[in-house]
Amino acid sequence: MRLEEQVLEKLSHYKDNWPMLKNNLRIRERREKIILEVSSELLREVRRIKEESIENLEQNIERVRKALEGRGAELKIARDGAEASRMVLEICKQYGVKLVVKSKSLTTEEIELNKVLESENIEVIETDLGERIVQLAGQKPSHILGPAFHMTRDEVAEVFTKYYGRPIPPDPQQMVLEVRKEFREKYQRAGMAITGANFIIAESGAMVLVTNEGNDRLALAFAPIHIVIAGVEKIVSSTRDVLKILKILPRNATGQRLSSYVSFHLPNMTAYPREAKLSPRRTIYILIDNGRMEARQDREIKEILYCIRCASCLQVCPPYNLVGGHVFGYIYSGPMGIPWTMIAHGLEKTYFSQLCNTCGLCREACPLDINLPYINSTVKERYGKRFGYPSLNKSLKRYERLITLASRAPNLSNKLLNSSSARKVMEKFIGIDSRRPLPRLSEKNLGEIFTELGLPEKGNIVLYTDLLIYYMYPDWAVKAAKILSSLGYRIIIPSLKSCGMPLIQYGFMDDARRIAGYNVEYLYNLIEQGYTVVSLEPTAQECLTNYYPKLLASEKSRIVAENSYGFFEFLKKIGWKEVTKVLKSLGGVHVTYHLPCHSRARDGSIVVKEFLEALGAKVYFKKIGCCGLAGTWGMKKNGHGYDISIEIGRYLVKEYEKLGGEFIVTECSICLLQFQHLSNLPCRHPLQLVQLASIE
Amino acid sequence: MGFDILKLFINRLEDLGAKTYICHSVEDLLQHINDLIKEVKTQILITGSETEYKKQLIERLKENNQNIKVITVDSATPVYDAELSIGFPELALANTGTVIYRASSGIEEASIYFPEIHISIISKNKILHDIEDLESYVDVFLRRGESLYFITGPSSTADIEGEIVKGVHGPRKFYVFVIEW
Repeated sequence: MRLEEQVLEKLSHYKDNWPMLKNNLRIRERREKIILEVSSELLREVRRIKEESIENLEQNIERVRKALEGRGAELKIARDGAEASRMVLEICKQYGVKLVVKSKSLTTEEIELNKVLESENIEVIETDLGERIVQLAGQKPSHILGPAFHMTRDEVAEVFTKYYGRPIPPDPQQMVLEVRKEFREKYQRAGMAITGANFIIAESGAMVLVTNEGNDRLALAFAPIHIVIAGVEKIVSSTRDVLKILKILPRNATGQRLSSYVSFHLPNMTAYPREAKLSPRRTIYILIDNGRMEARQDREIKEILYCIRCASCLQVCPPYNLVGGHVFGYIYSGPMGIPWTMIAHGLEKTYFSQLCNTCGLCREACPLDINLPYINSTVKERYGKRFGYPSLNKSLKRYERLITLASRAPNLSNKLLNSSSARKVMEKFIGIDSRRPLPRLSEKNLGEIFTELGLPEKGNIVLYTDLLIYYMYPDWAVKAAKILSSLGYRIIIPSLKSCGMPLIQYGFMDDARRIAGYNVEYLYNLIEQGYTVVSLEPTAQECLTNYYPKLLASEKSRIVAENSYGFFEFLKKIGWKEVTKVLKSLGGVHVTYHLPCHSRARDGSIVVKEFLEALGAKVYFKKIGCCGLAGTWGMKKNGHGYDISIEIGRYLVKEYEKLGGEFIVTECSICLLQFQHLSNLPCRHPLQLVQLASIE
Repeated sequence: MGFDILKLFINRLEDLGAKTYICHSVEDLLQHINDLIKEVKTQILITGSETEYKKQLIERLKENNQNIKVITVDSATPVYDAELSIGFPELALANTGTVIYRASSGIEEASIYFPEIHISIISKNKILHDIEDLESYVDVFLRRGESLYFITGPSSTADIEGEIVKGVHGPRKFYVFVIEW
């Protein structure tokens, strides 16, 4: 089934009942309460620990080998999944193992070990509850921490009813009890325990496991043979490093200060098998390369090896939360699943990356500050160059040309955009869903209006608006310019190209680089003359500060990033006290504020909320996530974008409409389009709400 | 080691769903334990570090409960059907509500995790503030060849519709007694 068909199937299956989203929202709620306990210094230190671990990987592997040999255990390195599975199978055959209990199974999922063992009639029991559910359902995990997060309790009950051959009620307590009873005996009878490892400590060879259920502990207590299967990147240098990481891993993963069970496990334990005498347990670590060593040399994606598998990126990813990991993933799923799939399973398996809408919430959520949206665009680029870009994306790549063409005859274009037959033609030939309302072109574009207003040719602020404001909402820019003028600044409108986000979004990185190069050169020259860059569109600002420096890796792009501000961020820099002097009060106005994904003030504050509150408005705010439109992504027809975009937005709007504002307010023109399409409430740009005090 | 750390430890444990008691004497400790072992029909496992009150407690438990076997798990006696175990952790962490055991055999591991009920008994002076305070301790155990097991509340899962269910594989009930004398 094609990706867009899988999307539509999942959307219709889960209609209004989004188990993945609900699970992740619950975790986010817990996480947000305690995440502030972690300092940014600690986060930076953990990032440095992981950087050093990957840098020193070869030496650390040898340190682990030495430590294990000193404790009577063994280290094997498997080049790929097949080799690792063969190693396990050989050990099973050598010791006549018939029953294997598994725990922390993500890496063994990566290498698809169960298939290999089961094909040799070795019974494999996944002991983590979620893993067990998907194992019995004949599915793959859909979430790296909650393998069965995509299932409802009724679906889980059906799985258990079928397995136990008697009715099991859809009551989590009851289902857990059934599994508990069954597994007590399995743990004692198993000939081998296979576990993953959250970390392996180079200096001692200890493996560290972090779980909540305690299944790993019981699996290990009894098994006479223990095989550890982990990626080589799990090695860290010291115990101290692990203790640092443990401060942030459970907090981010599940919103806990510490998971229920953490063990520092040495391989010299005595086993405790039921029918045998106590005997030294045989322990073998199989560390897997499977693309990791190559990724280590890959400048564009290397930092994904710092991933601690906390799944914070999965918690916030809007398309993933609706369709789940079976569609948005291969074995690794969600945002981190895109590069991990490329590394472990090959570029050809990454087509699902088309579902990433480059909202960037994953980067914001990542405690290690891994630039996932950029990495994922790089994967899309590599896929496109090797196997061909999706035709819809190729057609939308021309968005700037299409808009400028339409703007030459705005009245005619607007008529066409209102005609259903013209929209059908657009859907067929360009791929924009005919159900998606498009904004009307302004009769005059911003450049023309500015010329008529006679605003100065020289000044100290470059007001960068991007395409939509330039051609469709020039009034907002005029208002912004007047506010800045009344605060004493002189504004110019630059002849820049559009920010290029759709190109980045679809992985046309060479084209994006060209645009970035042009814009950076242009702005750099102005900055040299003393200008400050102020962007009116959050996405334009995100390009200037995040994507251009990555795309160009140049000093000029860094300087442009440093000297660019979002419009409201810049107002905050001036000071709310000064700003409120030139604007009329919004006292008595109640608004619900939506934070666009690309609005990121340097100080982490929610500046538009502060702005509106400074003017006296009552602001209702709930941080849920992306509006779902994400530029042209949510305009793409059917399962390619529109349908999933609508479902993401519908959920958000439903929540927003409960909050109590008279308007939905947001500073992103794209988010506004989505809300205008989906909400019964009026939707406004903040600049549409405010008035200059001097204009009575 | 002040009052605040103990208070924090107790608060965290209660938040996690563990029952806690502060005991001021062996009598006090014994009384609380007797309440919990009323339902026990088979045997009680004892594990963990050696302390003076551990010895006293074992003696008293044996005296008072002639019908129940009280087994220390450093022996090789099979203990598969125990309903309750009592452990003496090496350390605890106040800010996370964690107790930390060391073990060097599967039998010790199983005795902590297998029974339905687990009681941890720890002296107040073994409570550290948070995980970073462990830096100097963990390697000492690892160098001696001993593994370390951290327990933070009862075994739990949120795998079915995010609903938290206690007692998946490890103990379903978890008690922590803090010795303060």
